[in-house]
Amino acid sequence: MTSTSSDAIDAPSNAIYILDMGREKYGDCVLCRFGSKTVLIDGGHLGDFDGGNNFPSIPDQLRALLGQTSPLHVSLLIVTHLHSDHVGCLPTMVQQGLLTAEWALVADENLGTGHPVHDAGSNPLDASDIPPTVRRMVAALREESRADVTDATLLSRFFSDAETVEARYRRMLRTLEEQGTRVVRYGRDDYTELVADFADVGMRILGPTDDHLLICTDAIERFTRDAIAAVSSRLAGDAPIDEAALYRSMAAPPAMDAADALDRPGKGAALNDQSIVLRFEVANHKVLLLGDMQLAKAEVSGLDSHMRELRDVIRDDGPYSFVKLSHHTSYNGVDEELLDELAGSGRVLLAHSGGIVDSTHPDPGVLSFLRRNRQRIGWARTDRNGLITVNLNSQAARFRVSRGQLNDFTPNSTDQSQSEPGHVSEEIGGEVGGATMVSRKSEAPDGQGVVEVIARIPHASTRVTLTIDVEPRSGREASGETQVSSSTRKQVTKGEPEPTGDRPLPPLRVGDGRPLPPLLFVTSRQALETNIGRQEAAHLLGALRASGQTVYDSLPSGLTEVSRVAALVRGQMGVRHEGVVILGGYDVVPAQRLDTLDEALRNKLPASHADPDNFVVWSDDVYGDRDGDGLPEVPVSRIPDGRSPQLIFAAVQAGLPGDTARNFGVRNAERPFAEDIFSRLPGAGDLLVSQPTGPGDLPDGALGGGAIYLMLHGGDLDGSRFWGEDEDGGMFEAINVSNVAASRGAVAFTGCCWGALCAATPAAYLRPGQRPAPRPPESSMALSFLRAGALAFVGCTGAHYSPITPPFDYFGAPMHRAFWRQIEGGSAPARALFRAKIEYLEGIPHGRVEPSDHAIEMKILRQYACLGLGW
Amino acid sequence: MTYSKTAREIVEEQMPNFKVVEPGRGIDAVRRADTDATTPDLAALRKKYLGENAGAVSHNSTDAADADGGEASGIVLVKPKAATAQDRGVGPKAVVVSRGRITGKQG
Repeated sequence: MTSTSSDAIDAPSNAIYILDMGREKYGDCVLCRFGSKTVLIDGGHLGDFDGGNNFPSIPDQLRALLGQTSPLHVSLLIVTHLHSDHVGCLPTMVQQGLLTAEWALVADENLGTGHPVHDAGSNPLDASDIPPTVRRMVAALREESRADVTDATLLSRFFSDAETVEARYRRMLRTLEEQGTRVVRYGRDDYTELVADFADVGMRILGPTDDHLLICTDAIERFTRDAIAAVSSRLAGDAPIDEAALYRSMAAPPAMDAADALDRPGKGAALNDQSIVLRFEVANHKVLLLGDMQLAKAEVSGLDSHMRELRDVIRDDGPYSFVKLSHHTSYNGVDEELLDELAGSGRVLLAHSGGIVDSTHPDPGVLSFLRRNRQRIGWARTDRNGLITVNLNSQAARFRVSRGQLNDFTPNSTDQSQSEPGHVSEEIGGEVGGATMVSRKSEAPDGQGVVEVIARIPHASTRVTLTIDVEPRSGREASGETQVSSSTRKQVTKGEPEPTGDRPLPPLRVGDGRPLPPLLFVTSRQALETNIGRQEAAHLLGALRASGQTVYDSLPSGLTEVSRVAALVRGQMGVRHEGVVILGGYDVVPAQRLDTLDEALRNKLPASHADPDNFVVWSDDVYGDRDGDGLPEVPVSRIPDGRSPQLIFAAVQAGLPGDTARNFGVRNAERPFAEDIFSRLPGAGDLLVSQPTGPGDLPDGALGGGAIYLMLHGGDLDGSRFWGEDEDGGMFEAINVSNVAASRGAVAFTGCCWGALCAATPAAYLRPGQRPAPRPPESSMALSFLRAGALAFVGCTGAHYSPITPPFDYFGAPMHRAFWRQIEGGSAPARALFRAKIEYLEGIPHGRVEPSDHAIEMKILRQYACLGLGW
Repeated sequence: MTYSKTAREIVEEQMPNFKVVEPGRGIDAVRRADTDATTPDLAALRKKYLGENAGAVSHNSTDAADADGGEASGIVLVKPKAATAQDRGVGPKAVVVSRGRITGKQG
């Protein structure tokens, strides 16, 4: 077991401390020591003022780290945003004279509570006639969700903290100012002098911008207004009020509609996204402190482009030696691409802050990709490691922790009593023949106990046989005792993947048992195994072979040179193959980054052209190339895995829609050309218009099958929903992944920007050396359809263009018409798209005359993709 | 025909509720240089898929249009001016101007 140490006495002169957050969910408190300057960032929970449950209080931790007695003094106090797990015990410390500061850089108390900056009295929660229970519930709903907190004391304390945090915070700022602290309210005050005073420690404020802050402020205001109405309606009757039950029913998914519309699925997103993002640079180390900024998923309408800009700023400022990960290592705080942006080609230390009793933070999905990237990161977490020290004095930044093991990527259990100090999971170590073994009992996410075995084997010619016998001792497991000895034999040989167990998998009926034309299925078996599991990959490939299809699964894993991959695929393609179906996302079989313009056309573009993709998109066409010219002779479709075997199983089994399936569509109110196209579809159905159509307006089963036509706005950062427009040209959410239910055999065709983007990054934004990370189904309309059984999802990998002048016979419209015409003629979706493109090509330039018009049509021609089985 | 206004000016005039913004990160020649492949010209595509005699129409036919359209054609990015969060946050959208008229929109 890793040794532990204390940092109280021999503190390095340049160090960052991530304080122990104890038991309570969430919480951030970071102390930076940069020579003679000290910076305290956030104050954990209010309850951390006292500590308890074997955890030291924040004041006690700070006293030990600073080597001071009260009052503690710091050079700079920072409050990143106004959630109660960040404001925490700072107001109490300031009010009681336990903490003073020379400077304070703070979240603005008006912006952070949904008040326009110069009008502190306009927030709906300020109305004097709001009942106390409503006020308390709304304040709680504005915080991070505690719906899963079962401890009544913790929940009650949380309600109280949430209700009082704004008042305590305002009072703290007044006190600081009265004490002579130079208070800078972020978003309101000029911070030039502050940053200049900390120039010697490389201080830089990376964001957010004023626009970014104001979008969040408006979202907070709207959320507050809607939450007051929702809570009030729930309290309208005479029944006794159980506040905990009321809170859980409103905070836990499925959430109340008002909250859902704004911050789905995280209610606190707008506050998180106001977090002040900071960089310091000392001793040749850059450190990044992110607060709770939701860099991976903003979850606030209209914020995506601003978040992308912030990520650009962060990336361009890096690489960093150390990063305090944002938002308690949530799925919306961190994604795999962010690792590239933070670390560049080097190594980075990452730390998580949060309490022990938290089954969802760090997010298991994030832990999974952190584990995959463990060669280039160091990882520490307060819930397992207690106080984390980042020593910046050495050439390479180093971690020290007060308990547990570094680089622990295991998710937390739903058992809220686990892993307290003194109750660390049992670990048993041993050494045999030069191989060291460590085993530990822990809890899997499904609550089933598992034994994790780590073997360190000498890097030499050797064969090691691991023999593992697990014998839980009844009545003793609650304390973590497990006997590990020998019984089950498993021989591990070099290069063999980990066993995946013997879970029975359901039989797969390729194409729902329909006769399919001869197709060539292409994948990298090794890469697919990594994404969906070894047994699952074998099951899938076996079913395809058993159905009589050709499967080429020998593509090398990690091959990114598309021309090489295409040559290998071409070598497998026979004259009988009528199409190619790619199995897996871009990280399994790379897509081509395609310039949709030839050089001459690009040179003709006006200097001011502003295509969001610069006419560069993802394309799979090259895999349908028989003759080596890079252009397809046969249709290509792709079934992205989304790292979900359920998705790929459902997609490969897609059948045809039932006889009763109806057509369905939603169009942007500003895209009337879609009416004519939809009206010509065979069969009955409805095309709704957005606005006013929103996610709550779709009839049950609307997306259940048949032809689905969506002519809406899409976003490159948020693929989980599509938007219509309001009367002012603003976005209006029309449909999202929660609307996608059983879609057996559905054929969806979309004119939505980036609708068929199955990676997290558009082709134009990928940096050299960056790997496109896959989107999971819950983050993608396209993948959600496939997981629900759709036969095909046809759409764009870049921004789409619509005609606005009657008779609407240019840009996207002719492609839409041609596709549906082919479907009506009986073509399978993959073939229908292939033929529609040829028809579209014949019509280019569709009467248009300018180079930018031609460029748009070339982009439409090349960017349309067929996802799903497609046959 | 010549036009007295640029594409940007036309958009500003015809879409008064929006403001024109400069292109951002998408317009990046360095990133384009990293592409895996470039599309053949229209004539070559038409020849491959439509036959030997189908390659006649190409971008070269737009040479004359260049002189006519000039700066009155192009793609311009806009954002709503309105003050609500939805409007501020909608993100830039492309508007297509052709020979002095707005003819297409992104999405």
